[in-house]
Amino acid sequence: MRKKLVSVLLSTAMVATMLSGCGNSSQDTATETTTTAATEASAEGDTAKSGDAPVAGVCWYNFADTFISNARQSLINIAEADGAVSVEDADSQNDTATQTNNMNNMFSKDVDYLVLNNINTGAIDEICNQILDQGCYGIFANTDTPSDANFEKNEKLYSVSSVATQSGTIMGEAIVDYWNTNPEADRNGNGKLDYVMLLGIQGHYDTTVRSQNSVQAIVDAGIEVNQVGGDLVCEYARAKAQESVAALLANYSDDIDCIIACNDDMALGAIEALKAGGFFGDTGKYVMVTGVDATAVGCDAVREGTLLVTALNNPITLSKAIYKVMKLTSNGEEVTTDSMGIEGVSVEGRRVWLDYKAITKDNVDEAAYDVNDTQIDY
Amino acid sequence: MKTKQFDIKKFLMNYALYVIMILMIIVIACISPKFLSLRVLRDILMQSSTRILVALGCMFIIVCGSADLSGGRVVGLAAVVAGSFAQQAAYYNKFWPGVGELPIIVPILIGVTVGGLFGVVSGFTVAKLKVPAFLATLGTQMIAYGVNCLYFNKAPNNSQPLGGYTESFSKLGTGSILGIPYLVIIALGMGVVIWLFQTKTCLGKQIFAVGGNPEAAKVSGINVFKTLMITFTVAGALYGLAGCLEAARTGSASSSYGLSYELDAIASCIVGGCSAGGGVGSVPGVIIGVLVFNVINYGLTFIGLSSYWQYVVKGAIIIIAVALDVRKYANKN
Amino acid sequence: MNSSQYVLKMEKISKSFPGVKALDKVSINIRPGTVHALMGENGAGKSTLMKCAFGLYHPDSGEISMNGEVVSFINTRNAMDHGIAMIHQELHPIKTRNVMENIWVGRIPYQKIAGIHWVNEKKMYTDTKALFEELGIDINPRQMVGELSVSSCQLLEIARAVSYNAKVIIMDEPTSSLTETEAELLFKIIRKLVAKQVAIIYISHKIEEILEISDEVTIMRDGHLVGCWPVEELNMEQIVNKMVGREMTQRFPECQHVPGKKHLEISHLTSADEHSFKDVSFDLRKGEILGVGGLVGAQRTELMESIFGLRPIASGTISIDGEQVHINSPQDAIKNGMALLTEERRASGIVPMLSVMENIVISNQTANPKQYKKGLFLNEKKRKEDAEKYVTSLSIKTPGIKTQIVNLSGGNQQKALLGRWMLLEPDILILDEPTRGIDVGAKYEIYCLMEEMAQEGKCVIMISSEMPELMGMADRILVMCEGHLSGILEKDDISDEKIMYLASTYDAGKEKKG
Repeated sequence: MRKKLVSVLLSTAMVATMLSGCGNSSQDTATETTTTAATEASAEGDTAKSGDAPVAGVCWYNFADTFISNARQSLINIAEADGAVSVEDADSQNDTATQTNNMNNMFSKDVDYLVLNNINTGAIDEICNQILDQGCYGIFANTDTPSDANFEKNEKLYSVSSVATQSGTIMGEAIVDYWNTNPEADRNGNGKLDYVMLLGIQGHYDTTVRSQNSVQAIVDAGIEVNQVGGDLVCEYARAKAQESVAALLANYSDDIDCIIACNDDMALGAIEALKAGGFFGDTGKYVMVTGVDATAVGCDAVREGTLLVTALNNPITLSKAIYKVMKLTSNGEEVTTDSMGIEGVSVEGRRVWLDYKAITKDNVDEAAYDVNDTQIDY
Repeated sequence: MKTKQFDIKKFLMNYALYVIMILMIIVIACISPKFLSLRVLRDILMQSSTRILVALGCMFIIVCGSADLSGGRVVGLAAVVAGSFAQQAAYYNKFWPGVGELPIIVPILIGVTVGGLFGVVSGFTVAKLKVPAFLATLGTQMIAYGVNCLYFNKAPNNSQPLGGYTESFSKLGTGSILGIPYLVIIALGMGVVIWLFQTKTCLGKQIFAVGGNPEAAKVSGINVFKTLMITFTVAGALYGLAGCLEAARTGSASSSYGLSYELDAIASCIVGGCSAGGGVGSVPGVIIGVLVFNVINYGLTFIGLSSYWQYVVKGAIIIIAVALDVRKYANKN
Repeated sequence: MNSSQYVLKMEKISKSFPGVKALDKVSINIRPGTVHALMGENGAGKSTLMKCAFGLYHPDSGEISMNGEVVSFINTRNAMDHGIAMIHQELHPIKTRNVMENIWVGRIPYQKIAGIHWVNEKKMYTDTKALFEELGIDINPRQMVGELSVSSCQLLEIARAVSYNAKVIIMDEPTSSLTETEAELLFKIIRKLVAKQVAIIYISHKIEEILEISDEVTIMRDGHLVGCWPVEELNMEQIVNKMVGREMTQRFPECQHVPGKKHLEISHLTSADEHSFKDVSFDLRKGEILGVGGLVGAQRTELMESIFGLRPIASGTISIDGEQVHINSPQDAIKNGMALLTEERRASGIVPMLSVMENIVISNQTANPKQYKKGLFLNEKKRKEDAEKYVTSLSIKTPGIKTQIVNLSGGNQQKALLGRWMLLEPDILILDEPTRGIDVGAKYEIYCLMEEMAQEGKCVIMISSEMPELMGMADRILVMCEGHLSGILEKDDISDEKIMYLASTYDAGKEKKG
């Protein structure tokens, strides 16, 4: 009997852990807002608890993503501090079907704003139509921006997004700079810039723009390029990049001038492999490595001098911009570059653009951001 | 005449894996002779090291007639947890700001314990609650990932990849003795220990019996529950150790670590001669299975082919290996 | 001779497997409307020959013809189209589907509506019903096959064969898991089929059965044909001698053991499963062989498995030497000196992928690990010695102790399993149908072993469905019926009729006792 009881208890505990593990409330604060919002939703969609604050439903593509996790936390913090809009969110778990379910949930809860960190990029038009039918505000966040036609159809449609191409351009320009000022950067002296490209996931938007625009920036500067090795798809993972670069180095050690990685994790994996292959530090051998994201460890590498550049897409700027758009529209104010008033944010029609920032050894301390920074009025 | 022909067939069946691997090495070396170097060998062994540990854990479970999908995520969790206790005292983005610099054994023990605990949960679910292993371990896989994300997102870390490891912990991942990386020594050492355990101890034999025919094992007086629990726990501990080494090797850790390692491990086991039905499997086979996949990964990148070729070749090898395996058993009935 | 008088003619069939010549120029001729028995010890090549006839194997040389026409089957479907059907010893019905779907699987009747083939349930049902009526089978076509008994599954297989209009039906040990009444029903159906000019090839070890049902007997030994005789020309001894190739004077060893004092006592044992046995009490003396008889469903296996700790009991006690013991698992039972050879050799006996050695030492090694310890590891030498000891003393035919046990014949697997238990030196050896599916020679060896154990003062319990075996070996026979102990027959009181009587009604036992 007692054995049975133990097994029942254990299985119950496991189910409970599983639910909390998979559910969309990975933090205490999130749980709170979710419950608040749920009560509100049950009261026929009208807000009750926090005054007349409109409700925003946010569908993030993947809570486990470092960038998203920070943006999400920051948005929750801002909403809590400001109180003008209440926020609840959901995790699409990098799956379009889950995203669709979450979106429908938000619709049935009658949210006032749907903030969509869309990964179902093929279905933008359809999603825009759904938002139009629903009658709520739609904000596309950190993703492909909807077409002009969609913006014409729906007055309540906005997009808040970084200029994705900049992330690639920043890497390319930094490489060009270094190449032009350091003749020894051409390690085998063939006059060509021999680069290795570490891709994230084939067809993934970030991978595409970062790989294309970085090389484009180099070519635009009149430098001849040559790709070493094949397309290395490392799924944004450090271990995979490390292994791929180690294999390439064993064969092409002297013929690599530069490694372009579509994110910092892969860039750091490459650096790890380079160190093991006798580069950096006291060896005097140097290969340019570039990344995107400006993660804390990425910035460490910039400081250390191993990572040439990393492009910062500040999650705090994203969350601030999203929140500001909601706050402005709920007050009936117009969304302009001025009314937004956040550094690095420009408005073009109802498209809000966020600038990437190049982080190099010179300005690495500017890369720091704080998820507890809730200041939105400058 | 006839018998001779049969021998070749039998040889191919039993040693197909070795033949494939040697052929592959020859082809790659023909394209680029640099492939036949100590450095390449070292790299491949090093890259295989953590995979070997995961595959050995997986082998235990396959041998005892079960299945385990939790491997990869448990590796990820152990990597993050171990990494979080292996940071320098002065690192600015410290996971546990209050905790000083700990001796290297502490993060490793914590990682192994975390893995072992997940093994206990999986084992209990399979052996006591009688949940089919695929589902039970799918559950633990999700729990491990969820727990990892929660832990990883804890303030002040907020999902930043970990860094700033102590010197000894980094050395564990990158250092070597007499030119042999510590990682390789650990992986092969564990291989020997497990081989001894599996073939030379009573418990090891019991695992085979439970996998080969659980009913018969039960009648023979083997405590099937206990055997399954031990198997899953040992496997979990191996995943945990693999996670620690993965963190040390890459000098970082994040919640995305270990993704799909379990599938690689299962593939290596099957290719390495484990029977999917249980009761059959050996350490050398599994290690060769892992090496085959890593030779493909490394070799194809080495000669400058796109990563997609790796998938094509790996897929083909899985099919060939399993087709041969099926044939082996078909002969017996 | 006119060749077309035979429905199936196999001539000079040879077939080799790696290292073994399984068939060496074997011929067999089957007349329509007869039952043709095929006999031989395990490993004689009966099954291989039949698999050649059924298209499962391709003979290396030789010729198969049906009604005078040479045929060559590329697969079983091909054989079935030619009118050959085979009912395997181990049945593999689709348990999760119903009876009629199992019969018509692969050719389910359909109606074509709007270009789609819809299952015609009605036709399938009436067809099945008609088929069953024709054969005198009483099974509901809509019943799930998983709910059927083994014998019903067998009848279902026969019906399926008939539904293919089979001219030749091969039956591989069809009665091995049937009770005598069930076997009678099978014989009735066989006779009906024979009346319709269907030929039956009947493989069996049970000589009584062969003498009763068959018209002709073909006997094989070691892949060779011994000969073919009309059944009238043979008697039991002749068959046995022709099969083993040596004179078998007795079927049972001489009884020399003397039961001693009471050792095991079971009182009022009741299963936790309410459909299983109730209130069973008996005792067992040292050096005694207790037979356990009854029909299928009498819960004999369940009783023994419960005593051995494999199944839970609700009430009752087990005492050894007057002291009550608590047995909750096989480990406990083994600690108390028990051993159980289970009924299902494949399901719960052998570990197929492991070697003969591993299969023999597994139990003792688990129960007494200290005996096998050498430092941290196992003592390989001791393991080898133990395994070899039993391979020799039980004359297990195997290429070596490292051979996977699945490669051995059934009888040798069974002997290896016996070796597993003898290695434990048990005081109480429970054998559940120890000779099922085993050839005559191996049977005799197993009987000798039981006799030897009894002489050593050990208790032996043998469940058996074979009446002659029970009567030949047991000192007392405990008979069960539907979960009740219906009576225990003392040695001088044992007879066929009494066993059958007790097996079919437990009330009778009560009356007798009361």
